Amino acid sequence: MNARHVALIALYSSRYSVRSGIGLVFLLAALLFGLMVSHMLLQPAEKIVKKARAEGVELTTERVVERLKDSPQVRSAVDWILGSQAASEIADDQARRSAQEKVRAWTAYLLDERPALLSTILLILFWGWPFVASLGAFDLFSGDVQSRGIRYHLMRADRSSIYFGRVLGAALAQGAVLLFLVGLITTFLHFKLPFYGFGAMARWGGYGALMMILVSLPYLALCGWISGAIDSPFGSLTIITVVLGGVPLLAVFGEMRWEQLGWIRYLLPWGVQLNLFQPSPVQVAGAAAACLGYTAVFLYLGHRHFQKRDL
Amino acid sequence: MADAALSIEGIRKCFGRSVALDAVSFEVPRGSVFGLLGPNGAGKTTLFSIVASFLRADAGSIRVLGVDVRHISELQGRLGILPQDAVFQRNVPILDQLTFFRVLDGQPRAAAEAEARAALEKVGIGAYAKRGVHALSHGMVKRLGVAQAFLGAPEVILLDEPTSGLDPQNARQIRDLIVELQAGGRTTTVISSHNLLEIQEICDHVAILDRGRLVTCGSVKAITAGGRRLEVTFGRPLADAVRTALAALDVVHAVEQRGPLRYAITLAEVAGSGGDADDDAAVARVLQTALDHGATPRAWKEGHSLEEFFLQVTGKRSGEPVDAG
Repeated sequence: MNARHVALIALYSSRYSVRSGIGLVFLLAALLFGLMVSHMLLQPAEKIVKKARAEGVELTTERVVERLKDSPQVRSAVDWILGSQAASEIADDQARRSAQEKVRAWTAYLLDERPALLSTILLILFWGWPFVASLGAFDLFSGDVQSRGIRYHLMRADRSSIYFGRVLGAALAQGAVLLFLVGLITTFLHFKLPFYGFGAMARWGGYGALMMILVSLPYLALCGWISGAIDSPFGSLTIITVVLGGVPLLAVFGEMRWEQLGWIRYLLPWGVQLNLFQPSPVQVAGAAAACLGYTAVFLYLGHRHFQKRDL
Repeated sequence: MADAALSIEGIRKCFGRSVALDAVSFEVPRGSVFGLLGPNGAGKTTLFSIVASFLRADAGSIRVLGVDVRHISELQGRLGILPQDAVFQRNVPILDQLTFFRVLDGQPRAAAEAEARAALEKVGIGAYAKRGVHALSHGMVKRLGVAQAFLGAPEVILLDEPTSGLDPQNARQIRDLIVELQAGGRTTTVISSHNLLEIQEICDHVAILDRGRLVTCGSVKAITAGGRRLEVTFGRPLADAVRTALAALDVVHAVEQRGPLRYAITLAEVAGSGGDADDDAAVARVLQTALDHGATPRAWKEGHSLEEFFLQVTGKRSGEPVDAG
């Protein structure tokens, strides 16, 4: 592998990825998804602000957050996401109570200690982002292998450089889109809900964006593996979507019949990724390490297949 | 061959249960224009793809300029390829694509762009440098492919059917381009083609593949010289009497009509003969007999055409190697 080639290919592919039709679809899907989620969750907050102004009540962060926590959209979103995370840990009544207590503490951290609305938006983005990320990565190799355009690169750079260069390029492009998206949401929220200090919003938004970049890495590596193994972009997208959606669905419905099937969710980072928003730094570090571990495994498997196959 | 640009040894490649290449071995001399021939499905493109490391061989080894192609990146800038049906990226200007190729070869960006521009100018599509490949006609895309293969003046160039699907004018332009770019003498060019006249015109060595096996390999001169054949073009079709007279000569084995005015005359092996002088005498007797019977030879040449040889050897069922010298 040649580090110079990796860097060149990464920059080239990230530069031109957005110019392609698929790149544009990814960009639009990412913005649409992020802004729709923000809009959906901003509505109750705006209502609270409007109502408070109409009643002449002084707007404080604590008051708005209290009311926000009672809003069905925010509450149900947070409960559903965090509750589903804890569900696999429930073994008996005592454990269930303990898990519920943990979720309550976690909820308090996300809604009370951090900008509540931004936390909720980030949690939902976290759930949907793997699907959006796959739109930007399903064609990392499959289209070029199908059209044989990759052959123009194969004679000039070794396969490892091409493989890692393209995955890195996709990560750079997605990282840029994520930073832009979360930056946009954070700024938008700040102007709409000025009672949060911009510093707190920016810090939490920046942290959320970094965590989203971190969590998108294993999914990108998975997309690279599947895209490098299947010559049809449509086939690649279909299989990626089935795998991404199938694993959590199988885990949720499987554990209803047999609890052990819940472990299936750990085939992908679904089972650990939300821990990146835990209050405990140890849990965050563990989740980050797990995400990097998944990334390394998927990269290894994808690279090994790409090295051996006919192109 | 110590001075081989390309050395292929025992290459085998299967796709499932189908054997695409089986124990193919030959060498391409440095500085030659080498033709790779074979009917459809003979394995030419597969062999090219293995040389370029697009496909992995099941067995055997290939060395280009002494470098094992499994480490193809070591050949950076020394090997150029026109893949048969690879498509350029649609959303990237062609100048940017060629520039990027040269940057990968190790050139600084400014020099790479200058080289890419020069290559596009050379193949006559410089005006399209900033356009995408969608703006080019089929012939222009082929020329872009050739420009890409010759970019940076590599020492070995593989061209997989460079003129297929082109009209005669475009095909001629591509051939002229290959000959012109080859003129420096430093380059070894390997061309696969179905067009045997094209190969005979521009190649000095050929290898023929059939059903995945090497049938023959050698210099065009040696291949077309063999067979004790004489091809004669007359001013008008031969009367039966003339054909009978020619066939009756003891130096003639057979007379076959190969075109309206073209005849292939196979010379007989005569006991005690075999030297050049005897061959000359046999040719002289054939031509004199034709003249004596009022048939005027307009043109004649000894040996096979490459096409005849190709049809002869690929028509065999066994695909056993034929010694072409």
